[in-house]
Amino acid sequence: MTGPVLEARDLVKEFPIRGGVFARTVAKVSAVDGVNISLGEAETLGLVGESGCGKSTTGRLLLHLLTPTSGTVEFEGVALDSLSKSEMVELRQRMQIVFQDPYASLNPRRTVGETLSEPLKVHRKMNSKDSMVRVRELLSVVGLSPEHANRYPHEFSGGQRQRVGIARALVLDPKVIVLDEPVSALDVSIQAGVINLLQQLQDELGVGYVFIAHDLSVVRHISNRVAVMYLGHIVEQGGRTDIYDNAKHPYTKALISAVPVADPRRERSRSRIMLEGDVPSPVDPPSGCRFRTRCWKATEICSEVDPPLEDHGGGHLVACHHPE
Amino acid sequence: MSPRAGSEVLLSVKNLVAGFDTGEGRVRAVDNVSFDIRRGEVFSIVGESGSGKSVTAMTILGLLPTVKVDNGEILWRGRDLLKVSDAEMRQIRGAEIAMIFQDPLTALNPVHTVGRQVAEMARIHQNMSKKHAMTRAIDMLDLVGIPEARKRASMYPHEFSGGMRQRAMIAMAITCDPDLLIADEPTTALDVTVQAQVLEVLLDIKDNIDSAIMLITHDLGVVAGLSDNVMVMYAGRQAELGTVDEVFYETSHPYTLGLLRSIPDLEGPFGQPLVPIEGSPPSLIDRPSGCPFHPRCSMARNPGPCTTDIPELVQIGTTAHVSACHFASEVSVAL
Repeated sequence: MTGPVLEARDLVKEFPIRGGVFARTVAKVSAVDGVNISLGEAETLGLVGESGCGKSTTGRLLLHLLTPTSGTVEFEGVALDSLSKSEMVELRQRMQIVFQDPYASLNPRRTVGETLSEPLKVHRKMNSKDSMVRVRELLSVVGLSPEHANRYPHEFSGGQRQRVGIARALVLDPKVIVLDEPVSALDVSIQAGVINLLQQLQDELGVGYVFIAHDLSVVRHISNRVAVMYLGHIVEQGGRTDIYDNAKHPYTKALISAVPVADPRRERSRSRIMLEGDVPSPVDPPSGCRFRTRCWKATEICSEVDPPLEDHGGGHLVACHHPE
Repeated sequence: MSPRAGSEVLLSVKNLVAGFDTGEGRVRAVDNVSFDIRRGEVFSIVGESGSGKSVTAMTILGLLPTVKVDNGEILWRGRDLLKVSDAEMRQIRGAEIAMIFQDPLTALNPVHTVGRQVAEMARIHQNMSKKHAMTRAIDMLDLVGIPEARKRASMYPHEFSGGMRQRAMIAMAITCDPDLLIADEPTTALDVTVQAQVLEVLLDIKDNIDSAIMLITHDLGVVAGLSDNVMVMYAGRQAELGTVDEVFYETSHPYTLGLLRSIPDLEGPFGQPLVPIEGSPPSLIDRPSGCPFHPRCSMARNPGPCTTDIPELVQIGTTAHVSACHFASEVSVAL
């Protein structure tokens, strides 16, 4: 493997909070605060965390669908913010996204064939006939039938629609796809088929995934590496065995222990780390370590110094003053 | 965990058939469903969207006016809830059977304080004075683990976080010490660390007030951790019913087996392939002939009874474990 395909350094995204008569900015929320991420070729990086931790924002920053307040994203060594508009349009072909709700992200008035062939006409200057050939081929790649090209989004089931969403992302042979909760809206029996499809596509096409999800079992299944986020920070990052078998950050430990497993005997014998309270508001995050208000190991230093991400060997990064 | 065979049967649903009228005809959302819930147990109904699990619960409480019950009995401590008057039903609802909904923000009234809404239960069902009821409400909020309950009682639902709102819903549901709590996907909208807290509160409460819980969920992990008995539903029908160990370890319906195989494990070895269930759930208007699961079933025999006869529930072994599969005895072999 050569260098990373996608690399983000010190990503920060602040959103203004407006208030008052003239909707002036009265405060700022740092949704993402100093995130470093890299993605290798044909690799899957899982991005997990609870709602509001900044994982979706990070996904959008990686593609420059949102412009970072500061920090850089490099795609194959090229910094995205250095590109002109037309260069960015070119590059967009290589970086795609799949959304959680395929129904909301497909145009209801267009057949799937029209939606899927448009990028081919715009970027590849293909004529209708050639683009349709490619679209039909793609539909069978994602496990649909080529005849489905003539149907409208509402004629598909949820699982099929997500396959269309994946086909849409694949049209222009991307190197990287950001998958934002791609299977959360699907029933479990359907989920497995979509996950298998994603893995098969990665084997065949060598595409890299940033897999954003809150379901820790699914992330464990699909990812090579995993980053755990809490209130805009990455608190732990490493290979999947580092995270799932050898977690060092108290939050990661609590998160994994809270997931119910579908095995009654194991459930009865599992010990659960109960966290107190809820995630604090990102508008006014705790001083020092952001997790300290819910952490059973917190000491004085935790409220004073924000722990840096430190390498505990082999790329297992942990941001904690009292790692396990 | 025991199946609690000896305790009092609180709810007994017998051959329930219920559905909606649509432009395309009557949809049978619940088709010939029977089960008992006993005091002290957690009874889970598992199924995917459209399997009829929520409609079953809502029909018990008479909460869906558009649902038409075509057949069956819903016996609540011997009384048929389908025959009681609206006034009697209002007495039972809330006081004897209480419900917790998935989305507490839509289930709570945004213009009243949380304390007032919890207190309302005591005022209506127990004729408490305003002051007395508010004290009771604060006690309840405290019981479900809401910090500074007195202060929080005067706040509005939008000032609560998701987990706190769900706790407030639970507080409201238990104010009158109900005998049965129906929880419809109570933690689906919550983050996993908050889910763990809320589930613990639910279990504590069940033991505290010696009630039963009917838990409706699609999450097999939640089912495994909490249930005594489990009913698996598919396309409005019962697929399998038994103790949690029977359903998970002596699985006797191909659909249950399919569900268990299609979820990734949080622990086991890496790289275990997932086995999806082919196809998607059938439309309830245009049901497949025979077993509703046969078009997706890897064990279905065609030609054979699967495509022609609707399977009845058959007993597995010597317990109350039942499965609606023509080849039920062969499923656990495949396990």
